[in-house]
Amino acid sequence: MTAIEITDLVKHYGTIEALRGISFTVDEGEIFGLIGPNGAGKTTALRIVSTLLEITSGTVNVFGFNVKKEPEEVRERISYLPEEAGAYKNLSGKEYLNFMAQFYADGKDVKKMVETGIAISGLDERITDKVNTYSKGMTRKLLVARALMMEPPLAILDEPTSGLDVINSQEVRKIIKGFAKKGSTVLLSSHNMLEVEYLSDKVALIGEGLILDSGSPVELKERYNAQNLEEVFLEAVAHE
Amino acid sequence: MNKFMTILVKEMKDLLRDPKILIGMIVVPLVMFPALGFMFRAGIESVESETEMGVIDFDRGEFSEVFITTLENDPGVKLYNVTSTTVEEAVNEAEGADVKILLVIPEGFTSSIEDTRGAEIEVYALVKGLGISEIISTARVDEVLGRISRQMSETMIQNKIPGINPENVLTPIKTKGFTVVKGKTVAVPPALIANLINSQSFIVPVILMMMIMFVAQMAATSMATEKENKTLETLLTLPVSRISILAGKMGGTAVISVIASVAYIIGFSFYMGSFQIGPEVPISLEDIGLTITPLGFGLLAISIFMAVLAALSLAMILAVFTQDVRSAQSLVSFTIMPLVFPAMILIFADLNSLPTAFKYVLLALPFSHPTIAAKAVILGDYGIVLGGIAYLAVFTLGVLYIAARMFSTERVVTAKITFGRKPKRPQ
Repeated sequence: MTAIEITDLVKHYGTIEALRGISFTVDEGEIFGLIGPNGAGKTTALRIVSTLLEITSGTVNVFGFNVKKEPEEVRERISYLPEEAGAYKNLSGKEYLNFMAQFYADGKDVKKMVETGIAISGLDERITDKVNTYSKGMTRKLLVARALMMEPPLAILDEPTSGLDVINSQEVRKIIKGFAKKGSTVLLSSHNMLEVEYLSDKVALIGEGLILDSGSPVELKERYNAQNLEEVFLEAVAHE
Repeated sequence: MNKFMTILVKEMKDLLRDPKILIGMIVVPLVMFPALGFMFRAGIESVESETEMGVIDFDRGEFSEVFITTLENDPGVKLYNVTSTTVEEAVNEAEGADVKILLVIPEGFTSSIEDTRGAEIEVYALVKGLGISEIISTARVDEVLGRISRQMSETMIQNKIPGINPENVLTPIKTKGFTVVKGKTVAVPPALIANLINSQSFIVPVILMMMIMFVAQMAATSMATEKENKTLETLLTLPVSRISILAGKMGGTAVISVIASVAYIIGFSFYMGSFQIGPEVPISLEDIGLTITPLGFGLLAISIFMAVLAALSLAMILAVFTQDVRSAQSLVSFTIMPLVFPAMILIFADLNSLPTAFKYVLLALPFSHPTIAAKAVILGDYGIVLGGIAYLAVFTLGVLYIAARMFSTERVVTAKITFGRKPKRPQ
C-alpha cells in the first residue's frame, strides 16, 4: 500500500515559491529520505504532510486520506518530529511522554506506551528530572522517543539528528532503523546526506523547490557514477 | 481523561511550575502586599497610640494653664513639661527627651486672649526623619490645637454672653441632608450615599482590571512559550482537534489566572485595610434598600466572566502573531491596556454625566461593561446590564471565532511579529 502520495505539490509563502511542483510516493514500511541543502523546501514538504501548512496547489494523500480535506484522519496516523522541536521545560521527561501518550491511548496502554518511550529515550533515571535540566542531546532523544513510542503508521522526522554529537546521532539512527523494522513508514529529511544514505530505502534529491531525482541510494549512486549521495547531489545539481 | 482535559491539566501544571508565574503572580501578592500593609500599619500605630509633646510655659497665666490641662487630659497626647528658661535650651531639652513636638506658650498669651487680640503658640517640630510618623505627629498637633482653640472660644463666649449656647454662635447655620433613592427618602446627605455606592462598586473595576491583565498576560505567555520553546508544531500535529487545543489552553490559563487574581485580591485587601483610619460610613446600602439581589449578582458574574473570556481570546490571537514571550507580552499590553483603562473613569464619574462622544467610546469598549454593571446592579437597572452582556457576548463570540479560525489555518504556525528582529525565511 502507498503510505504517501504527493502530486504536483506547490507551496507559496507570499511571493516566495518554496515548492514548485514536486511529486513522489512512499510505500508502506519504507524509510524515505528527502535530501537537499538548507532552504531547498524539505521542511515545507514535511510540514504539509504533517497537516501544519496549507497547500497552494497539488494533492497530498497519506494512507489514502487527503491532508487538505481530511487532516484529522491524517493526524491519527502520523507522528511528526520538527527540526527545532522542544519539550515542556517545567515537566519531567516522563510527564512529557505521559502527556503525549494520552492522545493516542487510554489507561494501561498509556503506561505501556510511556515505558516504551522511556526505553527508546535511554534516559534511565534522568527521565524523572525536569526537561530544563536536560542537555540538547537528551532533549532530542526524548523527542525522538515521543515521536516513535506510539508506533505510528507514519513517522515524519525533520533532521532527526539535528544538533547532536556523533555518539548521540548514531544512537538516534539506530532507534529509527529499529522502529522501521517493525513495519512502520518513515519520511525523513536531512542535509546530512551520509545519514540519509545509511537510513533510507529510497531517496529524493530536492533543490530550490524541485525534485531533482529519486531512487534507492544504490540506484542513484550507479546512475551518477558516484561514491556517495553527496556526490550524487552535486552531479544532479550540475545536470539541472 | 479526554483530550481537552489532558491539555488543560498540562497547561495548569506547566504554568504553576513556572517560577515567574508562581512567585511573581501568586506568592509575591500574598506576601508582599500584607507585609507592606503591616509595616504601614505599624508606622501609624506607633504614633496613633500617643504623640509625645513637650510644652514650656513662659506665660503662667489662666489660659496657659487651661491649655496645658486640656493637653494633659487629651488621650492622644503624652505631655512632657520642659523646664528650661530660653527657647533654645527648651529645644535641646525636648530633643534630649525624644519628644517630637515642642509647644512654646509665649509671655502675654493669657492677656492676648482676654483682650480678644488673638494669641499665638509656637510649634517646633523636632524632625529626626521624614517618615510617616513625623507627618502624622504634625497633623495630630493641628488637630489637638484646633480642638483646644474651639474649647477656648466656647469659654470666652460663655464669659462674654452668659446664658447663650456657644455652638449657635460658632456654627450659626447647620445643614441636615436628605437623599431620595428609588422613591425612598433617607436622612443621609447625597455625598455619603454616592461615597457608599462608589466604595461598593470601586472593587469591581479594580479586580476586573487585575484579572484582565493577568488573564491576557498569562494567555499570551502560554501561547508564546509554545512558540518560543518549539512545542506548538508538535501539539498541532497530534490527533486532537484544534478547538480542543485552544479551549484546553484557554481553560488552563483561566484557572491559573483566577488563582492569581484571588491571591492578588487577598493581598491587596490586607494592604488597603491598613489605610482605613478614617471614620466609617454610619449606614449600609441595605439600610436604604440598595441591596444587590441574587439576580444582580448573577448578571454581574456573567458580565465579568464574559469580559475575562474576551480578554483571554484576544490575547491568544495576539500571541499567535509573535515569536517569543517578550514580544507577546508587549503586544498584549499595548493592545489591551487602552481597552481597559478608560473604564477606570467610571469609578469616579457616572456614565450619563460624561460627554456624549466619550460615553459611546466607553460603551464600545468591551471591558467597560462589567464596571457599568457593578453600579447598575446596585440601583436595580438591569436593562443596561443585559445590554452590556449581549454586547460582550457578541464581541467575545467574534473574537473566539477569529481565534478558532486562526487555529484551524496555517497562520498559527506562520504568522509572526517580532520586536526588533526580522522574521526568518521559511525553509
